[in-house]
Amino acid sequence: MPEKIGHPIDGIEEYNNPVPRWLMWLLYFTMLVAVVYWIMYPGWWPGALGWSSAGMYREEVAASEARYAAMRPKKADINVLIHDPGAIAEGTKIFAQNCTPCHGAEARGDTGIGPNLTDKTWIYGGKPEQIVHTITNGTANGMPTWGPQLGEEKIQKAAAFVHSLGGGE
Amino acid sequence: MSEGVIQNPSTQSHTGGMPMEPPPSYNDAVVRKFCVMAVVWGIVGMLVGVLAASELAFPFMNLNLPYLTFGRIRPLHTNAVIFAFGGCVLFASIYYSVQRTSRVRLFSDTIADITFWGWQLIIVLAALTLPLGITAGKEYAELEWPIDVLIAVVWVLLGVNFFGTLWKRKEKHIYVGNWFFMALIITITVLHVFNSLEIPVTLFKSYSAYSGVQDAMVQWWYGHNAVGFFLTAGFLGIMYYFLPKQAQMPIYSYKLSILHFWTLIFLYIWAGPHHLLYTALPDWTQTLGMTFSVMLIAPSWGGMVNGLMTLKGAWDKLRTDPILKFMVVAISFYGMSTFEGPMMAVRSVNALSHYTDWGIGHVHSGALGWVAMISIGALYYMIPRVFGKTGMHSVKLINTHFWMATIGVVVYIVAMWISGITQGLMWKAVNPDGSLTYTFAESVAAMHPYYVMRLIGGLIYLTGMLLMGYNTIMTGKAAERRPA
Repeated sequence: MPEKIGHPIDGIEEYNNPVPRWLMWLLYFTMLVAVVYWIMYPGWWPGALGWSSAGMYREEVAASEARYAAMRPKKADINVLIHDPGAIAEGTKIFAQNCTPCHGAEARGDTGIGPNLTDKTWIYGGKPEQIVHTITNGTANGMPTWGPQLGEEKIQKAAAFVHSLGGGE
Repeated sequence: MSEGVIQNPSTQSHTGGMPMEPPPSYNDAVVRKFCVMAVVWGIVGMLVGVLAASELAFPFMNLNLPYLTFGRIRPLHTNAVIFAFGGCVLFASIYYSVQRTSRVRLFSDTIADITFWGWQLIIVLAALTLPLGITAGKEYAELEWPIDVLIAVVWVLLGVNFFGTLWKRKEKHIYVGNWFFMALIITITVLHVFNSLEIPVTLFKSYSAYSGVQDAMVQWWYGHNAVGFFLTAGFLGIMYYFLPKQAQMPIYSYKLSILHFWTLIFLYIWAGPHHLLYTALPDWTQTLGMTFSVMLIAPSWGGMVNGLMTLKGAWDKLRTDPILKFMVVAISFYGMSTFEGPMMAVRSVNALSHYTDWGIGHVHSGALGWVAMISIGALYYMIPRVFGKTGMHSVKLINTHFWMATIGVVVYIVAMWISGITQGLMWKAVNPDGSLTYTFAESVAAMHPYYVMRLIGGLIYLTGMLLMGYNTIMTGKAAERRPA
């Protein structure tokens, strides 16, 4: 029988068994992991690897630039894209990811924030170039400028999709 | 041993050579009140959880009412289960065990009653303000400043009563369970007060005293240690008292309890930044949070090892005693989620798991698996005793409750693991040209079957709680008295 500590408290007795050795080794191991991590990564000092989350972001952006730049189509003509089903399909996704919060899932302006894009009314003009211009620069009525966020290519595809909604032409 | 039935105290052999003295009269009236309200708030809180889960699976379930929208119901659910249910369990267990481990009556019956009614008032105020959209906007600290003040007052009064009782104790040693309650009471006071520092604008609106990333850091220093000290240390205190009592076995290792107590409370307090990996929080702070989380595995497991090893030589009791089953499964879930947590705190794992349902699954394996199960075990232990009965009305129903709780939590967390990892992978998927493969709405739609599965798991767990409610009522109404 292992040694007991003191006398029972409310009938509860306590053995004084040693702490299981594997548990102590687990504690030492995790402490070692922490120390190694502190040496390699920013914590107590900048870290042997020179890693930083901002640096990681820059590297990933640079890597994808290098990887995808070549695949990027040459500057497209919006008047060609409006006849390209592939571009319109991509535009649909870009629209779903960025535009539906204001213009509604069906682009009918159900949210009450952005106007209906499927009717015949074009507040800022319904020509393809005009739609590109509106998306790129936003409007005085509260639509944000999307130029810096989406870039020319995505804006052209989104515009091709909006144009395809049919209003006007 | 007859299952689930309280042993006659005379068969409990430990008088430890102490001179026989008349048994002290304990204040069990306040424990009884907290036990009953724990069962009530457990049912209410989990019902609100089931409503929230149903809204995620079927959005029309919010009935188009602003009061029932997910954004308001979700904090109502978390506050109800953590602070109403968990809080009442802690008050009941602390008041029950500190008297018995100190062999004196509570320091003050009046303060005990003030803490009971004060805590219930706080819960009712929370249940009114949160659906009305009155919120401070801090996770797990949503309640507005007047309620924050009330919480601080009631909590400090609990401290006065607890430390007062310890002060006049007739035992030389302070029992290990009470160490954990001390850590709980002191740390939660500090966390609550500093995280809730805010500038009132009106009676129902305040702004945090901190801003930007500092606000986020204070919030998660609080948020993570609400888990560490409220939901871990507090309920370890419960385990250390009720497990050896129910199993009638000695604690495995006093040495281990000292070691894991001090390592746990020292390491836990630094781990908060792991909630803010890959954010504007400085890299060095994130590193600190991650590494301290990893070092928490062994101290956390110390509690599990001490709990499970206490049952060494008594495993046969598990076949017949459903209360012990609750406790053992609780300890097992504790061990699992305290391993899962540090893994999710590792930067590269977190890159996949953060902001997904994996986090929700992790929280619920801790909350439903560990906290609620150990609470339910302790409540089933206390309820017949504070009602002066020989046992719960139905041991069979406890057993049914046990199986419903176990199946419910497993269904819940499996659903969240699948949906969480699916979400993480869908969000990260890119097409050969570098564009995102899935829109966010597509990932939401893909979650539907798992949200239904989670709802079913929650419903099973809730049904078990309803059985507990029925069992509690029948126990209270039963005519039989416990032999004095």
